[in-house]
Amino acid sequence: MTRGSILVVDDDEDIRFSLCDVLEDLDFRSTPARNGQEALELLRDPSRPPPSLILLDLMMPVMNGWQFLEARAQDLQLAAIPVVVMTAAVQTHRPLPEVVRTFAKPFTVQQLEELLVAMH
Amino acid sequence: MIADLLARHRSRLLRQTPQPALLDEAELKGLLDALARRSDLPAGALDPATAQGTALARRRSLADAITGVDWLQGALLESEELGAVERTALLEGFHRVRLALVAESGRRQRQLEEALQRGEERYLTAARAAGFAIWDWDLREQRIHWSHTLETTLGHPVENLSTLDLWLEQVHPADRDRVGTGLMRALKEGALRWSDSFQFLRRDGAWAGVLGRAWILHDPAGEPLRVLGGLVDITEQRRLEGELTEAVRLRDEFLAIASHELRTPLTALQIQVQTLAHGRKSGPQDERLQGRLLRAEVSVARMVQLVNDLLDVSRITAGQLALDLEEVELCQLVQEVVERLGPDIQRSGSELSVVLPGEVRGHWDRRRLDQVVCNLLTNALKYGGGKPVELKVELSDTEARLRVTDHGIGVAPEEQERIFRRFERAVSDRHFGGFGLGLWIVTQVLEAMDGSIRVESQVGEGAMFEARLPLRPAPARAGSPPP
Repeated sequence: MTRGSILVVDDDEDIRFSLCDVLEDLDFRSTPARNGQEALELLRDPSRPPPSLILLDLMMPVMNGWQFLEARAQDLQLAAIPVVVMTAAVQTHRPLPEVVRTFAKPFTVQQLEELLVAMH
Repeated sequence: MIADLLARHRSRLLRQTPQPALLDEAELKGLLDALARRSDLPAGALDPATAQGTALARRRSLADAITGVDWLQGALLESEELGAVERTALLEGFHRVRLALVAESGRRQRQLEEALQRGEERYLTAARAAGFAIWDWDLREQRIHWSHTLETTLGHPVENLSTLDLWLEQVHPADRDRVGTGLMRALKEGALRWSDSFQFLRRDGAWAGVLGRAWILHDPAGEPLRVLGGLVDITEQRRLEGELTEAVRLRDEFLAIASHELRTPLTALQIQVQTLAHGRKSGPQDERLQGRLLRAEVSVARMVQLVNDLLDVSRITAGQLALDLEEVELCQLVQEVVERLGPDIQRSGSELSVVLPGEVRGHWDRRRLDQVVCNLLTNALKYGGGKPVELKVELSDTEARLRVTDHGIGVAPEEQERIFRRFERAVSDRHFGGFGLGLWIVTQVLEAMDGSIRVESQVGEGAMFEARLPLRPAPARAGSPPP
């Protein structure tokens, strides 16, 4: 029995797989995506059940986090899925719409777990 | 004979001296005495008439002295008592006086000319050495006289820029109006000096950055007469200044990129290490391995802290220390920090006593305030030498005060200002780690929240850091770049 399923969107392979590892440890199911485009494709695949949460990096190639958030806002089904933004940016210059929470990298496993527990 | 005669005429002559005096009393007496004595002197001795003539030439202009001497000669020769011999002797004496006068005034004239020449030479050489083109703008003639250094520094022959308009034509169009109106305003407002820096067209067609400065000379009625000043080519200084600014910008940009780039792998590393050390599924069964992983976790946490400090430096220098103000209860926050630093307190060997009033509510940035408390406490543990550390919070009507006192190595009075600067610490970096950014960040954070920090310390007697925070910071201060 899992606590939920989480879509991990980050272009950095180390972070993507580390997060998926720790999420599995914490009894969550996880799906990795390398950028916003890949995340959208996974989310729109009817054969996959929608995740309970999206962990989203901002600075990514192909489709960045801001662009992903715009696309998500246009799609009623996707807009219902909460998003947590993870960023290592010095300052986020652009405002982030409808984001549940912004997480500054690096964060601790404890912080992550607290957040996940609070959201599920 | 002459002496008797002169003695008899002396008082009459003194009374007759015309006003304003051609010769004053001392000069008159000197001349009369000299004329009286010269016949008694042995041959070859200095003629006293010559000495009087020389002395007179030093005090008066040649014309005034000759007029005075002529008057005295006329007044004496009027006397009918004079015989031919005396008359001749007197005329000879006066002749000596005049010769000496002319000789001395000629010498003085030559000295004056030499001095003028030296002065001119001195100012021209100095102007050349300093790279100054000197101008003397005569406001009545409306002409500018330039030193020839104008040609050696900016390439223009002096006659080419002999009026203000010709001069202003060489000023860059973007600066021209400002420079022209600035000069005119300085003249109109009775200013004593003028200064501006602008682009100036060199004769060879290149733009030079120049600094212009001038004194404005006025007549007794306060009307401006002349503008005397210099132009100096500061292109090279400008270039160096630009390079320096660029170097600082590159350094700050590098700091921002480096801290950002380091955060990504650190995030992955921290997750992995923490999962290994504490994870329920992948956590180690082996106790020795567990110990090593915990140490690795501490190291990662330290690295995270260092990278965060670097990131704060980038933010603060870029003026991006944005505050997120909300109601914060300081005592609870202090307790949280103390709890979190539990392992560090234990490791330091210092006993921590915390004195808190009931509740201290203020309008602050929670995360930044946490950082202030954490940095001050960490410093006290780091430099406290294992002796007791006290933390005290006090509340007044308008502000909260946080005091952290240790009894360790202390800070020498002459070091106390320095430790609040960037990359500084009071002791040699061999003994204590870190970038030396903690107190600088604390200072910047406190100032952004309208607060301040001070230290009281003596070497070997520990240190007391006191942070003062108004309960409600003025919002305008938040996020402004440091000076």
